Amino acid sequence: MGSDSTSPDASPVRVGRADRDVREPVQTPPVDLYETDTGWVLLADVPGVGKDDLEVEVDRGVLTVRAAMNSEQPTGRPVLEEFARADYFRTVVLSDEVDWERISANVRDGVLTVTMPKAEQARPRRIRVEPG
Amino acid sequence: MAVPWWRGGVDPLWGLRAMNREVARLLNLPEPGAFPPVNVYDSDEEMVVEALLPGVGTSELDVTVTGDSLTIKGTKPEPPDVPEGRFARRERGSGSFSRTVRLPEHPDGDRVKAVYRDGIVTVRLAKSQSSRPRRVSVETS
Repeated sequence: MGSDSTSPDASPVRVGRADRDVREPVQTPPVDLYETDTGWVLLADVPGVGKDDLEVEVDRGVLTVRAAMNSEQPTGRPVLEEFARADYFRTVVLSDEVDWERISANVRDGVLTVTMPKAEQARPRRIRVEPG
Repeated sequence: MAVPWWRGGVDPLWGLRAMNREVARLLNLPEPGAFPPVNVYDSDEEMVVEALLPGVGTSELDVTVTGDSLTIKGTKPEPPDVPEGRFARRERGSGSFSRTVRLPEHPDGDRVKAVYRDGIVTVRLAKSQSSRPRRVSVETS
């Protein structure tokens, strides 16, 4: 189990909590957010969500993830219930450094991966130093 | 796999916590913070156990039935090849886990089926014939 090694503010991508109009009740999926050389990657645990149950949307610099937990409840009397069949909702505030037109998302084994490439001007460039 | 709240490395209440978990397990009470979270359903023909295991592939998963206990073991992988210090947020957790739940009754040993789909493992356990409720017709004399 890791803990935050940097403060969330150190990243240009801010992760928000559910605060907009969504069908209640919703649950906030836990996320990992990390930086790569070419951008940022957001992982969210959304068990029960398939490709067709997912909605990722970018509007005015805010990435919104909505996902329906579409697994059927088994028949029978519940004798132990530790999780709810509620939809998932989370927002992420993007910075100017994210090329929001090239964001891509994929879900596999109940984990959502959102790849957010850096905008051209924000990418590190190697400057060749010429001998004088 | 709960986050250790005690940062010093040793949890002074470990023994109490372990006992708490054991009591919860024996009485079939929810265990907050236990991983994976589990739902159990009971019907006349079968028992169904569901566990939330996002990102844990079938190759990382081990399901065992012993008597009326069901154990789910495995490893939740870390995000691959992320250099230290590159995480801005880390909430998902990773590492190995093991969880045992007590079933409402003994299952029929051979008729157990586990399916992993979209990060949820669903285990269906048929009840043994002898423990199923049987209707007895009452005859008039």
